[in-house]
Amino acid sequence: MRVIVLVLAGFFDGISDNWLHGLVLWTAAYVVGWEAAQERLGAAPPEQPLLPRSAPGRRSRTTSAVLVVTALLFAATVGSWHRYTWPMTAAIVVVAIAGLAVGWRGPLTAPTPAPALDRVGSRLWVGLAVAAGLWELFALSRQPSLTQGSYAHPTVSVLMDSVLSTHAGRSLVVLAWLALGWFLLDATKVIPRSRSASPVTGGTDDLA
Amino acid sequence: MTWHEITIAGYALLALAVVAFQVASRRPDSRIPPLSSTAGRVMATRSGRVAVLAAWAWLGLHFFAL
Repeated sequence: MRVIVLVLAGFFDGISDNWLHGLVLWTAAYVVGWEAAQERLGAAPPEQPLLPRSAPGRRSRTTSAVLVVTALLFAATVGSWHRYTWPMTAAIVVVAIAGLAVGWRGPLTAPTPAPALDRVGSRLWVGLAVAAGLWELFALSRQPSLTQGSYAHPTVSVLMDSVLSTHAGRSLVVLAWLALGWFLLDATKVIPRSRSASPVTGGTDDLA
Repeated sequence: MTWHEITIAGYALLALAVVAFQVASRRPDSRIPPLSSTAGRVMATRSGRVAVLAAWAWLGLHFFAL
């Protein structure tokens, strides 16, 4: 399913005249498909958490403060550059590769097992993600062309154009993007059990 | 109501639903898992992590990179 989503996203990005980004998504689809096959065969290389698990305390607060200040400085600096320029591209690509490299290596810390997810509750999140994708696709389909935005049916990208035309807007969006990346990496610290690992609960779902 | 307003209202509704689900997930008896738990479950494997982080990386590229 993940591979199909990435392939479709790459296709739509490509026909919207951005084949380079489409290629990135297709490469990710290939890697994800390959890794999923390795996992099914039990041939995946071992995973290594990036950080030791540590209790909340002064050390983690200091680390958090350093990360926040670094992210703020990064967003303020990068936001001063215009979109689709080489400096902006280099800055974003470096962070993206770093995030992917950390995720490839393993979870952020040795994950703590958690209760399995409720089937109905977790499907609400999946349904919301599907609804968002369909709404965006509807707006995209109502544009005059795939490369020309529509005022009547704006996609998120079209709506973001005005926000990203200013230094402050770019800095805020870069900061939000960094925060999202950190949120995702941080989410790997706690892994709810899968249905197969908790047969007694029954009413849970395997989203992976 | 124009199509422009309807389209934006759709996005706003989706954003509100995210907030509502997340708030509801904090209730002790809630069946809705927090977004972080859902993301953690999806990212429990390397292929899941790479898929989700590739989508995140693409967002940055899409909005800012050549």
